[in-house]
Amino acid sequence: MASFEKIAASPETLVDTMRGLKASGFTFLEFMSAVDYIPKNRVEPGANRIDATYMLWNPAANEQKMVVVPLSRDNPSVPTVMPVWEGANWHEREAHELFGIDIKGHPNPRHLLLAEGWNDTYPLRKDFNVDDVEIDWNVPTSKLAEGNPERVYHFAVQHPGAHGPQGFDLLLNGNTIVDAEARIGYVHRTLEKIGEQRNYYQNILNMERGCIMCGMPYIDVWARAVEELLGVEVPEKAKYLRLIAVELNRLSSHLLWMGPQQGGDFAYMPVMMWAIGDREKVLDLLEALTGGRITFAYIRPGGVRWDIPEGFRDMAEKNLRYLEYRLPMYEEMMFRQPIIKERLTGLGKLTPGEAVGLGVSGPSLRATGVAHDTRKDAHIPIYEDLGFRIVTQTGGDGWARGMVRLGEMKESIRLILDALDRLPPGNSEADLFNRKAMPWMKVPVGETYAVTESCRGRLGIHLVSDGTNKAYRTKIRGPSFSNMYAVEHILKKGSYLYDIPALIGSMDTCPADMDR
Amino acid sequence: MLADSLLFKLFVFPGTVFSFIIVLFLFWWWRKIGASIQSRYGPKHVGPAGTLQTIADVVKLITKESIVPERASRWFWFMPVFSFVLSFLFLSLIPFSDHWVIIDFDASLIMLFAVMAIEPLFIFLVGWVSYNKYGVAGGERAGIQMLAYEVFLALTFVPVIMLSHSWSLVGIVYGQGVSPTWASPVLHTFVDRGVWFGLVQPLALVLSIIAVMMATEKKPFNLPHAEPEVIYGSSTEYGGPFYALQMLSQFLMGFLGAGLITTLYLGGWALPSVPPALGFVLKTLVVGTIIIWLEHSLPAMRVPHLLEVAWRKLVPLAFLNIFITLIIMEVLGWA
Amino acid sequence: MGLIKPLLYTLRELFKRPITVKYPYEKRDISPRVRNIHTLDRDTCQHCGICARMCPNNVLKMVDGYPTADYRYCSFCGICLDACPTGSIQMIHTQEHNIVRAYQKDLYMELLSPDGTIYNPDAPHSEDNETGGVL
Ligand code: SF4
Ligand code: SF4
Repeated sequence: MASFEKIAASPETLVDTMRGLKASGFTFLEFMSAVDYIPKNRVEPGANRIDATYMLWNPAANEQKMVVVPLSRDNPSVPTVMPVWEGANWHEREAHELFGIDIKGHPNPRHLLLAEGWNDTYPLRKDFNVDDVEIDWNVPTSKLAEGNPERVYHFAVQHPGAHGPQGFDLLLNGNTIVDAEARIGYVHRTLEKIGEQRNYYQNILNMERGCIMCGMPYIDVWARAVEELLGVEVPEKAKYLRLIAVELNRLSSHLLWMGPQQGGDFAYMPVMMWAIGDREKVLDLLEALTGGRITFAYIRPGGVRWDIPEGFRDMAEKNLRYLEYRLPMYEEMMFRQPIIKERLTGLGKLTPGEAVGLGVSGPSLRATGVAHDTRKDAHIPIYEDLGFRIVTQTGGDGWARGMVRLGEMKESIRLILDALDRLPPGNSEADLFNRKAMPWMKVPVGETYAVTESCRGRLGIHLVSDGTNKAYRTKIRGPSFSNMYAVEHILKKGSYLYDIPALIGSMDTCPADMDR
Repeated sequence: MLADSLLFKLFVFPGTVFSFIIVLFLFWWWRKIGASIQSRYGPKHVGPAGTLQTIADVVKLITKESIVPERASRWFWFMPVFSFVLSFLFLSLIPFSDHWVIIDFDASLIMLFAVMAIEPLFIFLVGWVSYNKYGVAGGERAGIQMLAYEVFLALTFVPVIMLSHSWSLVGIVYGQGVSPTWASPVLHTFVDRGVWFGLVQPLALVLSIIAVMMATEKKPFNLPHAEPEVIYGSSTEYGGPFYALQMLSQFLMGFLGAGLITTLYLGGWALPSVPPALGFVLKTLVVGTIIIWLEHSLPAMRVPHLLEVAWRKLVPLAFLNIFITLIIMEVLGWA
Repeated sequence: MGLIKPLLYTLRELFKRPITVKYPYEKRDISPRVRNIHTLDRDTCQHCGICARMCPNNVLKMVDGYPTADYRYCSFCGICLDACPTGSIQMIHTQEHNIVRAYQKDLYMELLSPDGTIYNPDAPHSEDNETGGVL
C-alpha cells in the first residue's frame, strides 16, 4: 500500500522517463510536488537541494512509483510534463509558487493558491520567513482579467452558484463559454506547512481540517502514514471502527452533496432540506461515536480514541435503515425525474482516458466506467473482508456521477451495518502505546505514502520523517484539486453558463480539500 | 356612494390596501407551504404563527439604505416603481366581481395580454440600467423566457374566448354560466350556478396554469432570477426598499396570475352562498396554493430545455386543445 | 410523467410533522462524548503545563499554576485531556455554554471544577472590573 519505489531522473530526461513510465502502465499522475532539503535537515544531513517529486500510480498492479528530480536550491527548474499528463498543470503551478521551481514551457505560470501579487518568497521552503512576504494587490486576478477586465464574468467566490470559495473567470459569448480560468486558493491555509509544525499527535486535529465535509478519511490516512513509519500493526477492532467512522463520514458528505450541492444547483429546495435533515441522523451517529459532528479527532496513530459506545448498534440500525428507506425516494426525486435528468445527462462528459489523464478520481472517475476505488485497489483493511463492491456507471456525465454516489451511499450503509455485526472483541488501540506517551511519540527517519478513498477521490499523504516528533514534509494530495482542474478543462472545451453550477456540483469539489 | 367610487376601488378594495394585505398574506403562506414541504416550520415567532413576519421583513427592508451603483443609469430608481405600476395595471383589469373591477371594457383580455407582454421588457431594462453583468444576463434570460411562453399563453386563451364569445374578462365570467346563456343542463346541475370552463376544458386549465407560472416566473421557469446561475438576475443590484417593492410586485403578479386562472376557468367570483368578491379571493387562493405547491416541488429548468418544452410540447398541445374545442362546439352545437 | 412521483412525495411531506428541533423550547439529546467545556480538578493537577504545551491551537495558558483557556481558539478536540498525566483536566458536555461563568484574565478563563461549578465565585465581573467578565 504505502511503500513506493523511487526513480531518479534529471530535468533533461524527465519527459522521456515519464513517457516510458506511462507506457509501462503508470497511467495516473497523483501529484507533482517537492521536498526541500536545507543543509541542517536531519533526514539527509548536509544535503542542499530541492527534490521535485512526481508520484505515479499503476492502477492495474497497484504499484506506486515516485520520480525524483534533484534540483539546486538556488535556481531549480524542470520542464513541464503537461505533454504527458494534461492534469499536471495545476500541480506544477503549485510547485512553482510554493517552492519556487521554475516550470519550463508551462502555459500559464501564474499563482494559483497564493495571492497573485505575492513576491518571490516560497512558503513551503524550509527557510521561508513570513516577514519577507510582500503582496501587490493590484495584479489582475487571472490571465483572462489581464486583457479585458470589463468583459470577464466572475463566476467566483461570492457567487451563490459557486459552492464556496472557488470559481471561474469566464469570457462569455451570450450563454456560451469562450474561455475559462479557475480562481481557487481562497481557503489556502498551507495545511502542509502546519502539518510540519505540529507534532504527529496534534496533527490528527489539523489534518481533518483538510476537508470540512469529509474529514475522517484525512485523519485515517494520516494515522496510517504514521503507523507505516512506526511499523505498528493496528488491532482488528480499531480497523473496524475506522471503517465505520470513515463510511459514516462518507454518507454524511454524499448527503450533503445530494442536497445543498447538486439539489441547490437546481434550486431544488425539498431535496436540499430533506438531505440536510437526513444527514442529521448520520451526524447523530458520528456524535455518539466520536463526540463531534463535523470535526472528530477520532482516529489517531495506533488505533481510535474511543471504543464503540453502549447501544450504538441499535442506533445505527435504526438511523441507517431509515436512510436506506429514504434513498429510493431521493433517486426518484433527483435522478429519475425528467427536468433534472435532462440537466444532468451529458453534463461535463469525460471519457475514461481523459479522466485518467486529468488525474480525476473518486466517483467522478468511476462514473466513466473505470473501476478504480482506492479502498479496494490499495487493500485498505477490512473492506475486502466485507465484500466491498465498487460502484461504477458508464455515462461519464453528471447523471452517472450522481448515480455512483447514490450507489456508494447504499454500499456504505451495508458496510457499516456489516462491520457492526462482525465487530471483533478486543482493544481499540495498539498495546504498544502507552496512551499517555502518545503525544511525545518520535517517528524514525523514513518516507512513506499512504492513500485512501476520501468522499471525493484518491487522497494521499506523502510523509517524510526526520526522526523527531514532527514531520519533515507532509504533502497532501487533495482529490478535489485535480477534479477542479477537470472542471476547468471541461469548461474550456465549450460549455454554457447555465451548466456551470451543476457541473461544479456534480464533480463535488470541496474548496478546503482543493486549497488545503 | 363611497364604496362605488373609482377612488375607493383604486385605493381600498381591489386596489392598494387590499393588494398590500393579500401580498403580505401570500408571502407568509408561500413561506409556510414551502417550509412544510421541506420539513421545516417556517416563520413562527412574529405574530400568531409568524403571520406578521412579512411585515417585519418589509419594515426592515424599507429602513435599509438603498445603494445605487456608481455607473448605473439614472433610470435605476424608476424601474422597480414602473414594474410595480405594471402589476397594478394588471390588478385593475382583473374582475373581483362584476362590480369590483376597476377597468372593464370589451377587449380587456387583450389589454391584459399586452401588460403581461411588457413585463419581461421591464425585467430586461431593470437589469440593463443597473450596469451589472448578472443583471444583463438575467435580463437576457427574461427575454428568452418571453419567447417561450408568449405565444403559448395567447393560445391557451383562445378556447375560452371561443366558448364565451367575449374578449372581456367580465364577459368571460358571464360566459361560464354565471348568468347562463348556453350551458348544458347536466353540467348546470353539477356546478351550482353554471359551467366553469375548467370542467369542460381540463387540458386548457392545466396548460394555462403552466403558462401563468411561466409568465410570473415560478420555480421550474424561474430562469431570469435563477440564483445559482445569474445571482438574482436583473434585480441583483437592487436592495432595501426597492428589493421590497420588487418582491411585493412579484407576489402581486403571482396572485393576479392565479386570479386570471380563476377568472378564465373557474367561474370567476361565482361560489355558492359566498359574497362574490370573497368567492373570487378564496378560489384564487386555492389556485395560488396549488401553484405554490408546484413551485416548491420542482427544480429549475435549463434554458434550452424550457424553449424545447414550450415549442415542441406545449404549443402543439395548445393547438390540439383549440381543435378539440372546435370539434366539441361543432358536435354539441354550442357555437 | 416522471414528474408525478416527486410531486406526490412533496405532497406527502406537506402533511408530515417537521423534523426541526425548536431549539430554545425543546432540546435534543446530546451524546455523552460531546466535548463542550473543560473542567479541572485542582486537587490532582500538578501544574506541569503539559496540557498547555500539547494543545495544537495554543488555547491553554498556565495562570497561577493552573491551565486557563481562551475559548476563542479552542476546537474542542480533547488532545489536552489525552496529554494530561493525571487526568485532572476533563471535558464535559453541556447544552449551552451559559454555565460558563469564569474569571477572565486577558480573555483566558479559569476552568470549571469537575462538578461544573466555578472556582472563583467572587471573582470580579465585567461590571466591576474591565478585565474581568462573565460569559
Ligand atoms: S480541546 Fe483541543 S483546542 Fe481545546 S484546549 Fe484542549 S487541546 Fe486545545
Ligand atoms: S497536564 Fe494535567 S496535571 Fe499538568 S497542568 Fe495540565 S491539567 Fe494540570
